[in-house]
Order: sequence, then C-alpha cells, then structure tokens
Amino acid sequence: MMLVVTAICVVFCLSVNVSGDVALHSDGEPAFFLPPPPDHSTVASAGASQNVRLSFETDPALARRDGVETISGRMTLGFGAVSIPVSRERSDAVHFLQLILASGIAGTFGLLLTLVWTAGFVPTFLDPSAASVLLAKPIPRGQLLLGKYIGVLAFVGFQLVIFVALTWLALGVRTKVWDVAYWWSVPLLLIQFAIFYSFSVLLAVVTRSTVACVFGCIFFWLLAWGINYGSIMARHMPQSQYLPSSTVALAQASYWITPKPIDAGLILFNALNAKEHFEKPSVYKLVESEQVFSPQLSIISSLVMTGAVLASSIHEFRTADY
Amino acid sequence: MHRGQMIQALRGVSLGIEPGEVLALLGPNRAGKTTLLKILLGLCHPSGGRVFRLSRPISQRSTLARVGYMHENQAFPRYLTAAALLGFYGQLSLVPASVLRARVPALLERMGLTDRAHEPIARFSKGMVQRLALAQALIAEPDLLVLDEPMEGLDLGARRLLQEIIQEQRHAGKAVLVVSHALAEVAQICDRLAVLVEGRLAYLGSLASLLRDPDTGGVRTLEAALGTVYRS
Repeated sequence: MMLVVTAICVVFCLSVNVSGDVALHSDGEPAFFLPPPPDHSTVASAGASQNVRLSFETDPALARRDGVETISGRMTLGFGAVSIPVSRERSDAVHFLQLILASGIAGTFGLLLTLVWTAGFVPTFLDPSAASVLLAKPIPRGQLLLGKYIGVLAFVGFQLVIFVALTWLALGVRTKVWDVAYWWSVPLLLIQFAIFYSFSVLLAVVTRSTVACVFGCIFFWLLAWGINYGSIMARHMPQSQYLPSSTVALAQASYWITPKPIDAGLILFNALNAKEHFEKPSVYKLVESEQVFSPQLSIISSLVMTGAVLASSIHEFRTADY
Repeated sequence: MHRGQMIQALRGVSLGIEPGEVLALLGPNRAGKTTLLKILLGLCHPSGGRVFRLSRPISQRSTLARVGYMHENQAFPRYLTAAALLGFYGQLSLVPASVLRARVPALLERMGLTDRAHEPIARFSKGMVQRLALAQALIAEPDLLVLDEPMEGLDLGARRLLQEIIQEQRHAGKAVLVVSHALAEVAQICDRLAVLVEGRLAYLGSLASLLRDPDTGGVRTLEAALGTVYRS
C-alpha cells in the first residue's frame, strides 16, 4: 500500500514541468514578501483625493505599460493536463510541492495510513501460537518487544527513505531544483511515527487486539491534535486570562505529556526552509511567538513520553501470562 | 484468569521428569495440561507452589536455552525461508552463529527439507511445517524437549521420524515431555504416563504397571478421562 502511494507520488512528480520563470534574486539574498494588498476603502479614499489608479490585473502587457516587468512562467501538472501560472521562481513551485508531499501526503495521510497498517503487527506477534514459541526462548521479553518496535521503525524508515528519495529525484530531474532540505522530512516524520506507534504497542500489549490498536491509535492522534491546538489557543486567546489557573495548568501539563503534531508541523516547515517561500500559517506564528517555544524541547519531551509509554508496555509484557 | 473470571487450573500437582526419560502428559480438554506446560516454559506465572526447570527455579530464564519447545499450532512468519527461520530461532536460543552454520543444514537434512531450505514457508504443506517446527525445537540441542500434540498433521513417515528422534533423545540422556490427549499416540514411546483430570494429577506411573494391574483406580481414571482410547 505504501509503495503504491509512493509510486503515485513519483508519477505525479514526473508529470511536473516549470517553464518561463526567471531568477528574482541571487543566492543568499534574503527574500521579502510583498505587503498585503491595501484595503479597498483606503484605495478608494486615496483615489478620490489623488486620482491614483491601481490595477491588480495579471496581464503582463498592462503591467509593462505601467513600467512593471512580470514573470509569465507556468507550472504544468499531470503531463500538461493542468497549467498553473507561476509568478515567482521555479524553486518556489518546487518547494510548494515538496511541502505538500512532506507534510500533507507523508506527514498526514501517510502517517495515518502507516499507523493503521502497522497496528496489526504487534497483536499478530502476540498471537498465542506465535508468541508461545518466542517467549519460551531465553531472550528477555522486553528485548523481544523492543526488537519488534525497532524493526517496525526500521521498516517504516526504509519506506520513508524510498518515498523521499524517489520524489526528490523525480522533481529534481523535471525541474532541476535540488534542495537537500527536503531530506529533513525523513528523520522528522520517523520521529512522529515512533511517538504515535509507541501508543499502538501499549494498546497491543494490553488488549492483543488489532481493532483496538487501529481505532485507539487514530483516536490518540486526533486527541494529540486537539490537545496541542487547545493548549496553544489557551495561551493566546484574549479570553484565556479569565480561565481558571487550574485549567491553564492542565492544558500546559497535557501539552508536555502528549505528542505535539502542530509543533512537529512547524519544525518540518522550518526544516524545509518553507518560510523563505511562503507565509507561515497563523497557528505556527502563534507557537513561534512564545518565548518559551523550543523545537528541541518539544521533540525531547515527546521522546521522553514515548520512552515512558514503551517502558509501561515492556512492564505489562513481562508480567502478563500467555 | 479466564474471561475475567479467576479459575484454579492446577491443584496439588507434583511430578518430575528425569534425564533420559520420556514422560507423556495426558488428559482431556481443560484438564490443565496447557497451563502446566505454560508454567514450565515461563509463559504463565504460577500463583503458588514451587516449580523447577532443569533443577533451577523457573524464574531463571537462562535455563530456557536448554529447553526445546514445539507448539501444537505453528504460526511462523510465512515470508521466511526454512533455513532463515531455523537461524532466527537458533539466535533467540543463544546458539552461536558459527554453530548454527553447521547445525541448520544438518537439521534440515534430518527432516527431509534440504531441497526446500531456501523456499518461503508460505509454500510448505502442514506436514512440512510440523517437521520444521520439530527442527526448531531441536535447534539448541536441548536437555529437555517439550512436544505439544506433536503427531497432529504428520504423515506416517514423519511420525516414524518423530519416534526415532524421541528415542535418540532418550538414549542421549535428554528428557522428553510429550503432551497429548490420545494415549494411543504416545503409548509406544513413553516410559511413564501422567494423567491430569480437572487440574489434579489422577495417575502417574508406567503404562506397563498400569496394564499389569488393570483393576487399579488408575485404569478407571484413565477410562473416565480418555474414554477407551488407551485400550487401542
């Protein structure tokens, strides 16, 4: 299934073509974003007094008449089936696609698909006819479970490397944009998977049910999103000052002890250098506006929690009867 | 615990198995055979009593390196080849890799699986998987061999092979515990019988002494537990 998704994405990347763009700035030169368009009422009042004429048309001929040279590049998708105007450099278009592939396809759809797909691995491993022969060996039970967990991570990591390598190559061949920052998505997405999969392992050891692992894992993923988003809002909403201190403390505690998908998305956004091409989503800006936010601390706290969940799983596995 | 209910699976069971002995553990369904086996193999933790494995307390898992176990149902990873599977279980039994390099082909040859050594298990018949399971149990050259319903799914040739292997183990001074629900399957190979009924040890002794004195309570117990199968 994962290879099918990878194959579809590679074909999509091979179908991309960018033409007609020009370099807007030299290497190392910082990128600046145009200010947002003025409010229409302001334009109208200014126009009334100074007779200012603003055109938001994208017709290059019109713009050239006003002394402005525009880029008339185009990006085609689906082997030319879809054509999109590119008003900036081709690397922006490629970065946009890489961001979609890394955070949308692999980071959301791929992560969920992998969690569902791997949810049955440990329950199958704990099936009495399979487990009894394994557990009758002198290897400590904890080592067996940890070996299984690391084995699944290695397998998923391998699939992730294939996905990133092939899509990176396909985009590079078609657009001549070779940005190695895209490779950061491999370790960052693998860490995200490792965090959520540890919960799946705990469920498997306690219930030995694939169904419980599938639904429990999806529920936990949604819960983590909710807690992460809720804790950010609880700190930034104007009304938050009226919240009881116990509620704020609970939101803070929940933030530190659960996975942080929004933080992970922001870390991935920054790692892909996407901020040089796109404006950050508002929720990311809120997170970064906090003095206390630290990407390292966010990842480390999640990994500490993963370690605690795995330790609980091993304890349960060692003491359970099979 | 069974379906949320606490049940006492074994009561006052006291038995041992000596080196060079083949002991058959018999009993009807839900007699406690599997529970006894699981306790011996460290899969279940007993709530009371004292259990020793190879003269050491069962809490010492290192003794499991000298125990070979063949489960009644096999659920091996189907993508592994026969040779890879034996190598994997050999490593789990802490057998050095240099020893495994020689032992794996030898065991496969003994089981008649040499020409299928590098085929995935998914292509194996049930009888072939049973033979592979027996090879897996022997991979560490164990001092105690535990066979759970070993005759299930075996053809005539494979049954003869199993009987030969059990005899070899006996002559080599190794202990063999065979669990079965049918006396006819183990009567020819065992030195002693242990019959469990409702968690209690109903009979422990040789088949010969049992047959010499058919009026003992043991026979009646056997009849109650196993029907008339033992007479076959």
